[in-house]
Amino acid sequence: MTASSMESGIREAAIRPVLRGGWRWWAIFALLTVIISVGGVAYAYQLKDGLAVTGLDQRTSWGFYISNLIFFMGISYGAAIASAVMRLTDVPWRRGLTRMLESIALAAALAGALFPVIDLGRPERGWYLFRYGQIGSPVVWDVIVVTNYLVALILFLYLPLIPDFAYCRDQLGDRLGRVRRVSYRALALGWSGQPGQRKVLRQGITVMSILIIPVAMAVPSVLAWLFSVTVRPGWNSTIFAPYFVLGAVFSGVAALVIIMAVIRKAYHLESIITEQHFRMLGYGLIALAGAYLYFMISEYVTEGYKMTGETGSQLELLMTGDLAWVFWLFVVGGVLLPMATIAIPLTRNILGITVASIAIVLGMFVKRFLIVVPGLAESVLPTDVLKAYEPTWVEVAITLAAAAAIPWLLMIFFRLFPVISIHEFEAAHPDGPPPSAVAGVTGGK
Amino acid sequence: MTTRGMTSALAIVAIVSTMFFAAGTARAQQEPTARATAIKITQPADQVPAKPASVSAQLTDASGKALGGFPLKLYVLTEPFGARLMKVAEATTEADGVATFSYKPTWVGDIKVTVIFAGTKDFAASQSNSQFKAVGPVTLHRNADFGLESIRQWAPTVVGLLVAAIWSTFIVVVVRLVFAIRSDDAAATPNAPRAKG
Amino acid sequence: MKGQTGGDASAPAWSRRRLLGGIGAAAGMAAASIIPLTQIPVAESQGAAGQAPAKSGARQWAFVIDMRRCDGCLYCTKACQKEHFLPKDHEWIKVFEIKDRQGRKSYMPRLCMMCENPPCLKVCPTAATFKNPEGVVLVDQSKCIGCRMCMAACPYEARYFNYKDPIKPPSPFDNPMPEFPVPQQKGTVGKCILCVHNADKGKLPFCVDACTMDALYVVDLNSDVMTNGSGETYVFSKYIYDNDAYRYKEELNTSPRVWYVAGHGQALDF
Repeated sequence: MTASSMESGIREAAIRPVLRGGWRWWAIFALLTVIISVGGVAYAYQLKDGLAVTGLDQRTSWGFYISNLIFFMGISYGAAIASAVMRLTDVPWRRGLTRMLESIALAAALAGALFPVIDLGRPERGWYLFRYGQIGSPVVWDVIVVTNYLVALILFLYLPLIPDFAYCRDQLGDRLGRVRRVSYRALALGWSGQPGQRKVLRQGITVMSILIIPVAMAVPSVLAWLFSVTVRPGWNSTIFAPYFVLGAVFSGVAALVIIMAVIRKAYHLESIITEQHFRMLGYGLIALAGAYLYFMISEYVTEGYKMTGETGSQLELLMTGDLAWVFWLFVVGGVLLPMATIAIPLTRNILGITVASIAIVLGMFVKRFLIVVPGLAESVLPTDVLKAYEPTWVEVAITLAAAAAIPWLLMIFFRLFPVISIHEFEAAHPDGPPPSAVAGVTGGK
Repeated sequence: MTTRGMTSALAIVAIVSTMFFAAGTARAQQEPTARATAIKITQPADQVPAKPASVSAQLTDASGKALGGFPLKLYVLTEPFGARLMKVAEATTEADGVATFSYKPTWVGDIKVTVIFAGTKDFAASQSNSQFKAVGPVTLHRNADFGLESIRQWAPTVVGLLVAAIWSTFIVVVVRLVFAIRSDDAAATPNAPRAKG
Repeated sequence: MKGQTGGDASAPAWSRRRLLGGIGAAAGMAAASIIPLTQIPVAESQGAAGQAPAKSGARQWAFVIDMRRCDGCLYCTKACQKEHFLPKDHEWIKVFEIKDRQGRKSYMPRLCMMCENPPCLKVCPTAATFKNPEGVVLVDQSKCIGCRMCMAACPYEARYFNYKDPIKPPSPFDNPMPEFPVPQQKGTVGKCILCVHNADKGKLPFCVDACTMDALYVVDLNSDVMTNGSGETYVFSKYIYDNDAYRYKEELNTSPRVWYVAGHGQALDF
């Protein structure tokens, strides 16, 4: 029967990574583990000697750790919001992607949520945030919204996973070890696919999709307020919260494209994740890039028209000064060229869109840096000394470790549960995956 | 020595001494010593409320004659960092030698004042101390208002309610699902697919 | 011929000769003429005029900087660093050299403004930064988690982070407290404390004491008194009115408690 063989094709593709790794998997996993371990060693060194091992000083008191916090958390809630919006707007071609998006969101959140602790001068006192927390402090707001977000995200990822856990429990139980069998059984909560259960699950997923949007948006907004409640140049802007939310979704979707491209090749999902997916996401990236440019223009027109005080000299630093090459590299290489690459039909293919997404992600990393560090390095007092911030190997190692942690975690995730949401995909495409030319755009629910 | 020589010497000494004496006296006379003056603080009464109060002082010369038209300065003793005098007012004496200062005590308790006459070419400087009590209440410094007090009071409550609502929703979603699964299992027929092991 | 006892009216009223002479002359008169106020008993527990226990908030500390007198000698910075055992990059009072377009220099000292609406206090997640009853903003380094949000929030860049272990001071200084945070703690933030530990003992802040140009004054807003290292004492509200003193960046609504008298060191050219 064609349908079931197609079905088993999807299931086969989704389940394969769960069943076995292969030497390539282990090699890459080992490499990532090494990178993460180097970061761990770097952090241990920092614990011993304190933040003096970083390139921070009395003026630039926040550096890589905080810009990484924004960057990685941005990818996380960007991916989460993208998945929720896709679900709620019933985008037909989403079904192969939502699991990946939610997993990226969780992996990036786990990597990024550690950065505030890594940045603390007294990490052993981190729990004081709960014991002595002052409600007026943006740092406490951050703790509240990130906790909310992590719980919401875990629920958001978990609910659609329950039927897949049930599938693993039922079909794979005897092929995997006892530990995994028992875990799947526990995590499946006794799911048996009855219509009543399906209905409640669908409602729950819808509720979580609605809820996760404000909950996820609160995180970049609060992170933005860490900066914009101060009067530092470049930070003292009312647009910061929407700016960060948009930047997050922008980088989150671009990260999805990259990971999608890798997973598609690595797990042989070419029939399920098609060029059409990339194209759709590519259009989304163009729209997001345009919106991000709009926010930037809005910022710079209002600031640049007046050129008041340190804000004016900050703009000079960014646009025509020592950091101009970084800034324009970001604008051209990180926003405009990717937009063009996706827009031009010649390069609007999987490779082109993936390369554009890599440029976008790297560009957003640089942009976060350009927000955090120059705002501090530029003094608001009558001194013209602008000290350059030079991150040390400790900061670079920890950053690379966090970047490696995302694929590392994803590899683990997709060993534990299917990379495609089987039950959602099958519910939409009972006759198997649609022909790649119109993947999900016309058919399916 | 001859008598004549002696006489001359004595005469010279006498003349020179007289000259010196005369010069000395002349010096004293050329520059009359500044006359001593005295100040008497006549007001306030033993205690004043911490409002603008009058402090009066009379400047007289050594014989008690009032000296009018001279500037007097009123100082208050501050002690937190050691005894330091702080000038708080200036006034000129009237014809009756009395100058009246207006001084508002800025703390409650003992106020030690000193009135100082700086002196002129003709009159020596003088000063006088006095002490009185200021009784309260005294207006203390008030911190500047920040604004939006009422909203900032309510904001934590509003946020708390929002967070509580969000967490309640999480719990409701999970509980509903668990119940749905459990009740379905309970109602399920024995033939329904069950997980093995 | 001028006499040694110069009757020069422009000599300062303080000259010792005059004072002793005056006191001597007045003593006799005073004894007779002063209204028997001194017979009113002074409550010893209250102490002398205006002194009050530190913690009751009877004082509200502030500061005045006369930039007509500052010569950029940095004695204030060095004294503060020495007495609090601070590393070189911690300049609780920092002197900025300002050059105008003609290249003329003037100096602006900056210490913690002891704002009445301090941004640092508002953003501190653990309330490690707090205000004592006398309006002095202090840091409890046993509560500080080192997030450095306060450093980003301070518009005057007056806060410093202890990246390294601080210099170990000699033995009596091993009980750090917010009022005397010596030694500083690694991984926490420190700043000017307006030497509240000195005020309790009737001593001036170290910078005020060290300033040889008498440019720094410590102020009590409640009793309206300001005084500097050499004893010049003025009525604060009159002084800032007469000298058009202003507060730095006060449009930010931080309500700082440091007043500046504008100048470029002109009082140095006697």
